[in-house]
Amino acid sequence: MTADVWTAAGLRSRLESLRESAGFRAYQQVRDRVLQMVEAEAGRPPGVQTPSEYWSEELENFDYLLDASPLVVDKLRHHTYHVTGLRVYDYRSNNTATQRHFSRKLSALRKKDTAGLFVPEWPELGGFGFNIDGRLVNLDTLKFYEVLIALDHGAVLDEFRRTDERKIVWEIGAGWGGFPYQFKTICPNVTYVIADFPELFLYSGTYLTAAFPQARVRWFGDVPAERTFERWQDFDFILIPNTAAREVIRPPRLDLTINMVSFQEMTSAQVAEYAAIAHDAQCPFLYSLNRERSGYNTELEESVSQILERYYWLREIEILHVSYQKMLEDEPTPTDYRHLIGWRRQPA
Amino acid sequence: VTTSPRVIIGVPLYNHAHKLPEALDSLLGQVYSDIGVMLVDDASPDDTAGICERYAARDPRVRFHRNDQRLGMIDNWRAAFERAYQQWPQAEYFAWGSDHDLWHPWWLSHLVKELDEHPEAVLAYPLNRRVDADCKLLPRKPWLFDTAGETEIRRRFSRNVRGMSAGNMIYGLFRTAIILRVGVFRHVLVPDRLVLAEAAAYGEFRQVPRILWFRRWYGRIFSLGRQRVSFFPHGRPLYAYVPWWISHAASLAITFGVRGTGVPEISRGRGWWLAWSYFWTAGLLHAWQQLRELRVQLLERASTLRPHDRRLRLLARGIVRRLDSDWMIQQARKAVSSKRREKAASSVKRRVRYGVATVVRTPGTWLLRSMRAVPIVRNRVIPWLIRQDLDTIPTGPVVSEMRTTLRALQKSRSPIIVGPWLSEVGFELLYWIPFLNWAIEEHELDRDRIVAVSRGGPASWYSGIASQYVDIFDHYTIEEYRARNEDRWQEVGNQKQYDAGTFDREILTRVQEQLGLTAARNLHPSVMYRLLRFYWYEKAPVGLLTKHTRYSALPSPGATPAELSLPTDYVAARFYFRPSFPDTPENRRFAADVVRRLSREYPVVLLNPGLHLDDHEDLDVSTGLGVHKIDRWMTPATNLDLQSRIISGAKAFVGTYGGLSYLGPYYRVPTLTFYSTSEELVPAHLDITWRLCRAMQSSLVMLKTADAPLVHSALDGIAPMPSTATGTHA
Repeated sequence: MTADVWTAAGLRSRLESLRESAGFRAYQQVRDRVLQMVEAEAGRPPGVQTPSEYWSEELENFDYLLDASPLVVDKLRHHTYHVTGLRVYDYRSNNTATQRHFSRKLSALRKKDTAGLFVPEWPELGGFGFNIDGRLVNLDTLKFYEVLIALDHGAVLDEFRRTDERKIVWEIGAGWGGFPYQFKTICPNVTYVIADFPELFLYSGTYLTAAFPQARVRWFGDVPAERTFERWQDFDFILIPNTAAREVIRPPRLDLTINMVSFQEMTSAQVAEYAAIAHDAQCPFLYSLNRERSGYNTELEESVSQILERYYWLREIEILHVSYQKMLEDEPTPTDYRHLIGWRRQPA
Repeated sequence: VTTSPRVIIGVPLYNHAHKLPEALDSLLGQVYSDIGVMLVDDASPDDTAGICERYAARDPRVRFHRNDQRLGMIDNWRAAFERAYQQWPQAEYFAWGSDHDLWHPWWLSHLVKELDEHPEAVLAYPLNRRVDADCKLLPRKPWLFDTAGETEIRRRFSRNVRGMSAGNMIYGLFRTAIILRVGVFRHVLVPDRLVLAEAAAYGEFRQVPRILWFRRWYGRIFSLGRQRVSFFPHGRPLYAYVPWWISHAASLAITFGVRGTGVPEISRGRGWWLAWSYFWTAGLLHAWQQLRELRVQLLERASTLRPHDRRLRLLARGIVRRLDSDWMIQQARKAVSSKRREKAASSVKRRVRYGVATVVRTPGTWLLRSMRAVPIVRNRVIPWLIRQDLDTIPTGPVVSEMRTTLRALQKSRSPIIVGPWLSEVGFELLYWIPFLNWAIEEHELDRDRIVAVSRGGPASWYSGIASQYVDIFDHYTIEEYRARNEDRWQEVGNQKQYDAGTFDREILTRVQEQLGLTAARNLHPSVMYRLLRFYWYEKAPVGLLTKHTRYSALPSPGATPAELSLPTDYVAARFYFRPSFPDTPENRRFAADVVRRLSREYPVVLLNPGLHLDDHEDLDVSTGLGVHKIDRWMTPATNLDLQSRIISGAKAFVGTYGGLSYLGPYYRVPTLTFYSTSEELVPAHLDITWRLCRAMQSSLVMLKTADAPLVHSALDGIAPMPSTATGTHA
């Protein structure tokens, strides 16, 4: 925090300089795209992917971001608690006991990592976390690190890291964009497709375009829907609304489908639909980090793995004895998150 | 006109229907899709053919053939290649598949690229990882070997013979022309080594440094005897007993030296040299492997050899060190230091201590046996001494002894009596039955040969293990049993059956007489007790237990007898005193309160048998409205059977932690248990209880009585279990 912001002149000067920042410029472009996308989506008849009540409420909670000041955008990560639940307050530097837990977990993960996969929190746009060995680490950082290790242990990641041929990855619900940031850092030669509620692109779109200013981004609507994947190799990110996934994602190619912590919140039909889209697109791998069923989700009639099993052979990868949201001192429970890597079944 | 694929895969199949779809999906799911897959079933008795027909019907790349009768592994592998080649003669590359492994989607993409880019290579294979039956990765680093860049034939050949691991390489991608030249598998033992040796003469082997193949690993099951059976199912020819490296060398001599198949790349003279080189190198390698195996076996069986082996190895290391010029200087420094003297003194002390312990052991054991009745000796001194004793015993010989016992049982054709079980119910459920499950599965013991002997009627617990069950109470009254069991404790010094006593032997004799068995063999609980004590006393990791047990649900014991007239929905309860829940006024009050509270919500069936069978004393909770007592239906010979039936049909089980409470998870009945003294709980049992619950996908909650108010405060108002108690059992 700079002191001069607390004076009228200082505030003016700071706002002016931030208006010219890469982050705010990215935000302005993204906001326009999001508004276009939301308007287009409003005309779409309700279908399988229509947001649940839970998500409708969540989306309303951060509508203030449609009119965010440069100061808010400069601290965008502080506002991502609507998606992740992580708050800057919990990562104050005097919280040494918690920091010790984080350090221990990070070093446990490092022992499992034989491929150098750690990507710390990006310090810009309000990036926060405990300062461990000069790098910012928060629960999301550890979670994504663990996911990368799981993908590596499952013999998936190597294909995307060491490849001459460009690969295409689809993440269902990328939240604030933290995992695409890590994945793209580790595996630059991929086109990363994000299907999400358009409103959430205010976070992920801004974050990713600010973090990768040279990235080529295709927005849904730039070209007719069926041509969204045309010359996909030329793009770093393709952002599409979740409702358009079936329309846009088609064979011949998809190399990896990822979902973290949202299948468990969906209805059975939604999970099955996403798995079917990946399967129809010949995607050889589907990765899932989910509980079998979220405690309060009554619309998921079967467990996540039961649904995915219909399309993919699931293999569990164990990284630590506790799931991502717990520290090493905690006890595992049967309802914990599981790293599942699905290998595509042949169509029956 | 159908165009030929570039890559063909021949998949020999036999009797792996349960893993086949997963394996085939991984082959057909290759990103490199220009493939043809030939499935050849060697007349499997399982559903292999049905699965293959379904795949062939829906995927035009798949062809299927079923042999009329079993050909054996070699001929089936040959058929897989020959039929694939006949079907697609233009194919450039060939690989063998299997009915149980898994191939990464980019497996072929990388291997094809490797062979395309390196025309001098004849075989390409990836790194691989071993996976278990459930596809979990096993902790072993990928094996590394190739002959890339080795252009000189002799050097390449020798390097290959020395370094090859046939099982890791034979599933690689070959040039089809090379397979045609080397003639697929010959009728010899370890034929894959011969194929690879011949192929090595023609070109390089290249390993792609990516993990692209997941090899299903069922443990070290390789043996020449096993190969003879699977290669020659209709009888073993005499040449199958020729040492493999001799038959391989002879084959190479005929192929390259006599027939001149390798000309022009390999002249006849060079062919003879290759055969001679193979004979020596492979022969020496084989001898070395045999020696290593022998050494391991000797060390496993005779712990007395270990120090000698260690000395020999140190001696060898010392000789190597002497070659180092610095060694003399180091020795000189050591000579003047006092460390040597200290080491000698500590060695003398150790020897004296060992000598004293040896002298004192026998009279000490007698003394302890005579004082066993004193609680502090029984509960504190003896367990402490056992723990000390265990410190000096490594687990290796005990594991080896146990395995020798089980192997002897496996080899014999006599009936096997498992038991007699005379110890606590808890150990029987938590360890003895899972141990038997493991032993039967691991050593393929025939259940029809097994007779289980226990007490109290738990026949259903053993119905998945043994074909017959004999109850001790068919031969002894409860008073006789109690007295004889007390005598046994005195005789062997422990309630646990670490040794078979006179009573055990007498029971075995009576069982044999009853069933008319002659020369029956015995699997006594001492085998399990002696093994697992290392784990209980925290001298061995939990792996010792998980490796030698299998936890699976108990067979249903059947419905409760109609004459009990129990309600449809009820909660089963049993409270008794034990060290972790001692007989105190507070515990009595607590148990009575729990039963009373429960009975307000649901009918409660009290399981207390009213019989005093072991060192646990039952707590008689006064009955009231909604509490059903069934002790009048309990007899010594049926009490465990009846309790099992009631627990398996209950909505929940509530009672003292330990013993019978483990039945809840086995029958997937939610279980709530209590204790009041944590110090009396054994952490090892708690860990296993948790693992049991996880395996059964059930729950057993342990609550300290002192924490009950906290639970009440936290959960007050939580909706109770739904109750639908409307009637009684018919």
